[in-house]
Amino acid sequence: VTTNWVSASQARTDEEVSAPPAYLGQRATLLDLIDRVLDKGVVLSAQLMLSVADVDLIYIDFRAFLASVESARRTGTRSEPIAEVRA
Amino acid sequence: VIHLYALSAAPNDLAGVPGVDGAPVETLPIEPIHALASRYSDPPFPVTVDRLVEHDAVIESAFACGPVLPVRFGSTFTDERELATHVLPRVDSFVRQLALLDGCVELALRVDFADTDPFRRTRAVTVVVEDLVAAAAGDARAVNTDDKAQGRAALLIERAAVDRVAEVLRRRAGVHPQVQVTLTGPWPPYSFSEHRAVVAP
Repeated sequence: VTTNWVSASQARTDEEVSAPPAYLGQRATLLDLIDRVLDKGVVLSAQLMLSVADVDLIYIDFRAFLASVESARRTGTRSEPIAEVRA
Repeated sequence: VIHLYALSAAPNDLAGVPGVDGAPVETLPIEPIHALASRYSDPPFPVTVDRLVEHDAVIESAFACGPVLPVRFGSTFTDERELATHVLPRVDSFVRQLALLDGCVELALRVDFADTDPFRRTRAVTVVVEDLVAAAAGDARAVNTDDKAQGRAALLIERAAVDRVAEVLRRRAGVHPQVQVTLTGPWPPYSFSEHRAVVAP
């Protein structure tokens, strides 16, 4: 087992998968962020504006998002992966 | 319309923190708690990754100042009166949950297992998630394993225990060489915002 500590600032594009730990770390962070914002948290009413189609589109948009280094750098999230364990 | 980000115990000064689409973030009192929100003149906007990231960034900024209950993206209200109508009936439970979450962060576990058989994949990730959560349960104030069949779980950890728990999980992940384990965080307590038992300190 190798352990890789990664940060969002080490984001890689699809073309730079030669650095898989950092790339995977960034992807994991964004995927976890999307999962949380869309699927967790307080629900105050049944009038959430998101439809199933919206959520599907978000994951398509997510893949496009990953393809852009600038977009990835713009995230500025503090919730970076603190550890990635790859067996 | 009002787009809601989070509920907080204390008023947050988020001047300078841009909301979704760069809108200013306001703190709206709904005694005894506060709602963090932005106002928009147009109907609800389409959801994009950028807007999700901006929504989270506001929550993270508030979370840096004190406990918050993140609100799911897409919660919009016509005005403050309608917002209060939805918050006030549950305000006591929000106050209790904010107190229990004080000083805690969320760590997210993701377990991936490459297998074309969905039943085998589900079984494998479920077993590993349960094992990892059990390994860290002694340090957790609460756990959320609702999504364990998808290889996901969340642990509510006191902020000071993050490094220790990460080390426990990293070591335990080593006994499952067939899967990839990713740990992210610390996050605001998205998975513990409501209807979740939290062990008092």
